[in-house]
Amino acid sequence: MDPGDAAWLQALRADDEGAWARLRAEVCTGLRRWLRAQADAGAAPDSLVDDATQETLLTVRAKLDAFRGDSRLTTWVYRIAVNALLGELRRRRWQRQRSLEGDEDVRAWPLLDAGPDPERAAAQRELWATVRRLLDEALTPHQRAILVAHVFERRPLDVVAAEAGLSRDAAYKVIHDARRKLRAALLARGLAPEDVRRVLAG
Amino acid sequence: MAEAREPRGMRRADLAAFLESVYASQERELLCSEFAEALPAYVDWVAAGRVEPADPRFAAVAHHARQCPECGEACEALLAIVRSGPPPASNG
Repeated sequence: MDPGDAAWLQALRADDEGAWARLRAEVCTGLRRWLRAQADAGAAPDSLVDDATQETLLTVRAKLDAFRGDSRLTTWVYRIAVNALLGELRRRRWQRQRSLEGDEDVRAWPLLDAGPDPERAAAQRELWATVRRLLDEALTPHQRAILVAHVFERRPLDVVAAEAGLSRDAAYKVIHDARRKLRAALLARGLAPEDVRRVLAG
Repeated sequence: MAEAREPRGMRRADLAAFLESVYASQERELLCSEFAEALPAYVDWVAAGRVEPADPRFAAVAHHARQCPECGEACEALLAIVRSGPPPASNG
């Protein structure tokens, strides 16, 4: 472990006020700098960083003994901070997006931007139709619902997991299993990755 | 005045990205919590520009970052913050 990190860690464990103030300043500065560089920064109130910083410090306080020193202390803390900030930003993005979109079933969705060449466009629509058919045929209703909500409708994974009564890991595993089934189904129909790339390229 | 609702549909680039993730899926992949635990060491390694020796977990971390867009976004954000901060030598 970096000697500076070791000393800082010791001070944090001893509940040194200066050490915690320095950590708060580091987190707040880093998050604010990152957020300012984002396209949708204007939609995010200043309190977002303050709240994420506060949540981060509480988490760090609870998990300080879990820091093993295989990264810099600040990187370990920032990972927690990024998780807190992005989680809230995603929830806000999803709420804005949801208010602007209809609720049509994904299986009724058209391909919005098929290519200009009529033959290629027909092949692209046929591929999308095949994928939609496989969502029904290859997946269980549970797998289909989780996959569609997160991957196609772009609902945050934490939201999807909470709605389904699952942990985030369990929801991700459902999506992983669904991908494996779709992969096998596509390959069984003779659709190799290079074929799909060729169809979707132009 | 209320904003108009956007048409629902699939865009070609999104379909291509989805199918890439389907074909790239591996039998065993990291879960999000395993990724989160390994991420700080991976980001320090990438930020330092080191090539070898790599922790064997790092290939799995990079794969999960590609397969899970939210974790990929977290990885990019963490890397940006670490790169914009002071170097390790001044962090004492």
